Amino acid sequence: MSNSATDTYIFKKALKELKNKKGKGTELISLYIPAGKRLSDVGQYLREELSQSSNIKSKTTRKNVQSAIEVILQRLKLLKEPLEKGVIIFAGMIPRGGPGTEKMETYVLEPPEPVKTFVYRCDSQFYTEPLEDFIQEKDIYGIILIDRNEATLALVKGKNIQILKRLTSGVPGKFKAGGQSARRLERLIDDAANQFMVRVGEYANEAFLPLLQEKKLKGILVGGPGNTKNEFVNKDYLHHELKKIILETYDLCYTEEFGVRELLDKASGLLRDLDLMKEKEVVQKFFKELIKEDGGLAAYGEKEVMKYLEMGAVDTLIITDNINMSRVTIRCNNCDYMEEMNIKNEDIPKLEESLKTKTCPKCGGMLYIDKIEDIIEYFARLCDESGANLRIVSTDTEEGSQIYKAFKGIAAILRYRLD
Amino acid sequence: MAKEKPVLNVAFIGHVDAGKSTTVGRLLLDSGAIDPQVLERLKREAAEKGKAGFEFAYVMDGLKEERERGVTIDVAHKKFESKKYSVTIVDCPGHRDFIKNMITGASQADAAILVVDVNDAKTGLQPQTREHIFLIRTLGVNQLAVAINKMDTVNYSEEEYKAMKDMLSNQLLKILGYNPDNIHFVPVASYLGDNVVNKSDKMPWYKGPTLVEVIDTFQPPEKPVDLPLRLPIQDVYTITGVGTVPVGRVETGVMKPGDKVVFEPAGVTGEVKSIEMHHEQLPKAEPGDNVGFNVRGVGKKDIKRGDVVGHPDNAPTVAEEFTAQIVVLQHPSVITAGYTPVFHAHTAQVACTFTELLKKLNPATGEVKEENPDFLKAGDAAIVKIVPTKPMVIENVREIPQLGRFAIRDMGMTVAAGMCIDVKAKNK
Ligand SMILES: Nc1nc2c(ncn2[C@@H]2O[C@H](COP(=O)(O)OP(=O)(O)OP(=O)(O)O)[C@@H](O)[C@H]2O)c(=O)[nH]1
Ligand SMILES: [Mg+2]
Repeated sequence: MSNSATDTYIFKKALKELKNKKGKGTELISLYIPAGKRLSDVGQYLREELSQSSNIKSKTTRKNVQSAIEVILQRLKLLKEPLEKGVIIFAGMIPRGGPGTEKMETYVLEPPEPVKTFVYRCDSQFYTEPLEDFIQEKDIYGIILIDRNEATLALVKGKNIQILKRLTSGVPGKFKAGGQSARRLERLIDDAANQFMVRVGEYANEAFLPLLQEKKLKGILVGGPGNTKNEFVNKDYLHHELKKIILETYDLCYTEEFGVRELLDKASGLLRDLDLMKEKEVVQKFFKELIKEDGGLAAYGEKEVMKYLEMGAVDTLIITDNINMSRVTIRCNNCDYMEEMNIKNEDIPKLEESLKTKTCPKCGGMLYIDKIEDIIEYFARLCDESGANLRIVSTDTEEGSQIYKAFKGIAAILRYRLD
Repeated sequence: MAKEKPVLNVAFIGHVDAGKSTTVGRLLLDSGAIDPQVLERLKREAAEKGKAGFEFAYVMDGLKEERERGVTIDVAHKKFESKKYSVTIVDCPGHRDFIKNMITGASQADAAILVVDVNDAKTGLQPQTREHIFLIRTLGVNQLAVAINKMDTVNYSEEEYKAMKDMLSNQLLKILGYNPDNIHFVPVASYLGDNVVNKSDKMPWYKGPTLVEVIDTFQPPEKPVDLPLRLPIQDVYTITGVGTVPVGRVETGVMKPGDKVVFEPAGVTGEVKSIEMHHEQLPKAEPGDNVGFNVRGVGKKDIKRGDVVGHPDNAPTVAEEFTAQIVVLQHPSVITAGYTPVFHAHTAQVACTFTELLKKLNPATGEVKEENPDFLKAGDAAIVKIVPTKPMVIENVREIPQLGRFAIRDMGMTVAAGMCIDVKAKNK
């Protein structure tokens, strides 16, 4: 469990970095090898590309393309067949600063889902679009909230709630205006309500049908106060294909944005598998510990949580994905002195600066930063070692943003606590 | 026409099916505010719809959906004359799905009558009995009476009445700081008419006042006419030949025909052409008056429930951010920075984010217990910073108390109550 979450996190991070890399010329190679493809065939293909590349006019570009292909050929030899999900390789000379600073960079990624088609690209940038498809959420739910006065259409995908449309009806309320007969008012209300539901239906069809055709829409949930939602569901306001995938209707108090939240609370069983719900669940579990008299099995803040992590006493570690911290290793260039610390990424330059004036406490030698590791990757390793679950939560959700704002992005549910 | 008696707004609150609408219907019939023939007609209609027994409720439940289902959905207002007051009755829905409407109604009340089913003593307090009391307390409705209804179903037993009275007192009212000795508990059978307006001969053990007499024991509301005009909108109508007619209760200040007014946060302005209350023209509307008024220059689409009317030289405050003092009544988990529940203030409902927890207070003494707490839980009192997710009107409670209070709801319950003690205005 912890693995897949970190994998996705690392994958997303790598993707962002890859997208920002630019070569000097058309000389960056991207290679997508589908599951089950024979590596010898790929090798064959690459060798042909290699000989083709001798036609490239610019001398540096030619050289760079050729060395990139050769690096990839080397890496292929390290892979074990059969490839279960396939493999993705990027290689190329990336400039670090001015001219002459280029260095060969190679990335071998194991895709989270099987690669479907073979791609070979040589361009000034890495070709990452198929990768982005992997992390696109595939399970989407449509939400329709409706009562006599207003309606809200929304999508829930992965960790995201997206409000698509808010509509208001203009259906007259309960106050009887002077001079109107009760019967006439009733007819006016009925007409207006009907027209409103027609409008909501049209918007819903427009928003949801394309998703259904792309096979992304897993279901529709309908909610609201009173009977309007049932009327909407039972009559033909929605396209029949959409009607078929209505999973459930819920009695709700609100039809505005917070009605979506109310609905998600009630639908937690049905939507158990959504990342959003998993996130909610684990954060709520942390909160429930927190309100216990002695703080229960909750811990938060970097220092406190580190203490329990090192003891192996963490059951679930909750980190927000925007934490932006690193695990830094500092060494002495003279003796075996070594020191590790967690530090905000923005503070790393300051640390580098301060090391210039500091000396090794053991031998007085010079100190330098030996290693900078993303803290989430570091935590993932710690969690693996002690069998703890790692939950990387997004600050797009309310719960995630609570963890970030109130607990500085790090919280844990413990196995036991020390006093 | 001049107003002879002071106006009093009385909200009927309580759990679904307690008999609020029936009690109100009975009250109106027996005090002569509706024609017995109207009731005969409603009785036939109820029987036709398979809702026999709901004829009194039909007096207030005017919507087709309400009548077909036998539940109140939105608040309704009706006027009747007691000895002392010109009473506007606000009949609230009890069903939990319509609690946002109940809050709108309760926010307009000077006093509340809680209706409970005497049989609840056997099963325990109903959730909305509890929540409604929480809410009126929060919204600053301090006068309360209780109607213990459906006495006919327990043979008008004094014992059953006492059991219900004790349960309410001990499990709810005392906890919230009410003194039950100062509250009237009236045993009624609204459907049959006992002790609503007419004294019952079936409960000789009860020596207290009837429900109508209880209404006359309430104090008239203060009339903060010297404060700036604030009139939260409850609903907006378009009436052919007349135009846009917003309705709502004047909380503070005075509004007269000819006044230039501004609606916030909508930000639209118009001119008041005429003001009506219960189909009578008024020369001016004062605090407590539940009025409909016709404005020139404003379309129905421009304004909505939750907007507040004021004069342009002292417009209602649209909050960019506000500081509040809150009490967490009940919460299954915690309140932290980043938490975004729904705030109900006057007739508005807006999701608002807690951005900072400034101080935790001792709920009894108000002393500061902790600076910048990480989280709050049930029972805590605190000073917090709030940012509305959408524009909303709220006032500093020290300046305009009537628009400074709010209730916070989440997960189907009222989790906290509070008041605004400082506002950073967007529009000033
Ligand atoms: N036996 C008996 N039934 C009553 C009495 N008062 C009300 N009822 C019945 O209780 C049911 C609910 O009455 P309502 O007046 O609609 O209740 P309510 O509190 O207004 O309900 P909501 O507005 O939907 O929350 C109806 O069937 C009434 O006939 C009473 O005094 N005795
Ligand atoms: Mg009712």
